[in-house]
Amino acid sequence: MFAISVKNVSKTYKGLTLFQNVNLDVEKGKIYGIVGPNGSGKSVLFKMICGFVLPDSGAILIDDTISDENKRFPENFGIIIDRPGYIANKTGFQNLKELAVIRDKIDDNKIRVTMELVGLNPQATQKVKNYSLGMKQKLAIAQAIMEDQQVLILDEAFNGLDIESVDRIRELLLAFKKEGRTILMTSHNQQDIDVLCDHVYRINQSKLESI
Amino acid sequence: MKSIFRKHHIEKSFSYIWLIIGIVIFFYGLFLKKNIVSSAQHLGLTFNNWDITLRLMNDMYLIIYFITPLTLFISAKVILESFNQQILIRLGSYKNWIYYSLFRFWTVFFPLLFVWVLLSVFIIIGFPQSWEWSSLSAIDGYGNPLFQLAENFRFPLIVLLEQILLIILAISFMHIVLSAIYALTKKSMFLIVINISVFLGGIISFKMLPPKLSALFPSTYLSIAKIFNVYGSVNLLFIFFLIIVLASILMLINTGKIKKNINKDSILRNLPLVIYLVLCLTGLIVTSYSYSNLSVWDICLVFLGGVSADNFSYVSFFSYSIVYFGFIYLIQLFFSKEIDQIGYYKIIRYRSLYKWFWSWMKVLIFKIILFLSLLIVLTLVTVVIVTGKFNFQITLIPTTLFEILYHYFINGFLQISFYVLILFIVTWVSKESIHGVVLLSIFMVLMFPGINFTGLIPVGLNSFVYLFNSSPFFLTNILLIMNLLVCSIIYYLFKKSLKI
Repeated sequence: MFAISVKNVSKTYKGLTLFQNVNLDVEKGKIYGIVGPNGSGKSVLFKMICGFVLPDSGAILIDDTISDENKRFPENFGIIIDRPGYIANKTGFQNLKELAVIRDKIDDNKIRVTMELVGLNPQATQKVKNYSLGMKQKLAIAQAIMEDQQVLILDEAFNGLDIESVDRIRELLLAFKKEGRTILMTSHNQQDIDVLCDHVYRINQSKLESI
Repeated sequence: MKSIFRKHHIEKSFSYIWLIIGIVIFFYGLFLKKNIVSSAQHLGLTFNNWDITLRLMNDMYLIIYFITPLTLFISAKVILESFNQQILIRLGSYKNWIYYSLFRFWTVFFPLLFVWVLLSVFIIIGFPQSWEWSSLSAIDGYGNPLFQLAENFRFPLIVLLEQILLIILAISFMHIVLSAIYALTKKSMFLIVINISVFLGGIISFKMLPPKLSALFPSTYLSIAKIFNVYGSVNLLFIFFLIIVLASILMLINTGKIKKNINKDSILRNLPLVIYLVLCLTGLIVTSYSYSNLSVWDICLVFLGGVSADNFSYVSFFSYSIVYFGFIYLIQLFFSKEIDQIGYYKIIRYRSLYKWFWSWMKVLIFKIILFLSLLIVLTLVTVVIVTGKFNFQITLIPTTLFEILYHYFINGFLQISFYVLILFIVTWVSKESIHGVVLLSIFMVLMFPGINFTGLIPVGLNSFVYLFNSSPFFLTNILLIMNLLVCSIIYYLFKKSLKI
């Protein structure tokens, strides 16, 4: 059983063909890297997997179940898409709390532990608008992992991180893999891909090619 | 590289939008032409090319309702698009950025001015030609805006040239000031609020304020005839403008220093809410004083009266706009956060767009009810405090208190819900907060006299003036249908992709 299966998916946007009959099977407990030039459609692929964007044709299967109207957004997915999202006038903790109350699966302590795990101070009263780019990125990673999501969709998760933080997050992702979590990621840093990924695919001329 | 840049600007400058603008100005010019001919025939006077050319360049309706909002939109767009780190680092200072922004503004705006001037000259076809003033231009009254100009200028050609120079100076000045404000605050919403205030201020000053107070609003400075009306002269004004433009540019050299002394966060964090409350209270107090001879309920009905196609007044229009559209604007700020900033992260947790929608819609429903309740209480209390009266009779509208309360709460709730839902649709589809503001402007235009004569356009239907001609229950039906319609659109949109 695959965690994610992309079956013959095609997608065009404003006359530009992003994907044409693309297939991808993502095994559970593995890390997959998607690489490709800017504008090649990496983010769109992730948005299709998450249900935000619908394919023109083909199907996306999550745990061998086709996403449909009633199950458009997959369960237990942690995501970073487009850019770190946050409410500027709230602290990091308040931002995570606002998201955590939706599923109500974790308590405040788990939020604090997750913040420390990614290298943020949960006690800080600093508003997110005053965070550096790297801190915002850590906050985005924290929201993606804090509820022990089993599948992580990480679009450029290492952007803006310092070397120490990159090492920390890499270790964290490798630990998640050992736990059996599935990770699908993009990075423009080849080293991230080399160190972390079991399988790498390149988007080339609207197709996914295994490297 | 330079040729690519030039080509890009040429393509941009001659895009189809200028054709549409040209058509609007042209047809408005035809309308003015017809008016001139009929006035001249009625008075038995001669007319010539300058009557139409100078009127089209000076017409305050065209300037206030068309040129000013377009100018403000272009100015804001240029400022927001050009203010980024990549450009700033290359320009080296805020001062240089303002010069750069002004240059970019004119590359976009010049075609509009060109089209406006060209059509003002082109439209003379069919009119008698002369280099002198016509006898129609020289008469006082009869809605002739050229009288003072004809009295003070020997040749109308000079007026046309001064008019063009005036427009260039006034618009440059306005853009410089807006750029400086944005460089200081870096708040796009603040810039948009200022632009809307300038637009609304122009409308208010045009019809409601004495000529001297019109001097406070930029649209006045786009018409040489209006300036004569306000100042009685124009030469002093040119000097004033030149001094101000130069002073602004010099002042901008120190913009960086000024910035350090402003704790912008503390001032701006709650600025929209503070401005909203101040505007509401000011409107309420002024209305209470102006109509202090009426009963408490009657003053409330005046303040919250709103407008309809055949029952329009500027005071009611602006009261309604401030109170209701101001509230909707605050909701727009909420949407910007909910959709644009953390939308993806919430939706993936709710796993259903409908659950996500309902999670904040129920909060907004509560806020709308709270808003309506607080508004009526605040209005009644303020009126009692200001007038010192306890007379609660209703005399202005031939209806019962039950119908008034029903209309205020039920139709008010449905009307605001409609605004909220359609605002959500626009924000959801475009993901651009400025489009929400454009939508509010469209709502306001739809409330102008003569537009919503059937009462079927669901804008301003919670106005009390509708009770003169319609039953509140009929209005409820319209609003219910419209709310259901926008809900269906949302249902349809939720089946589609989110904007990539």
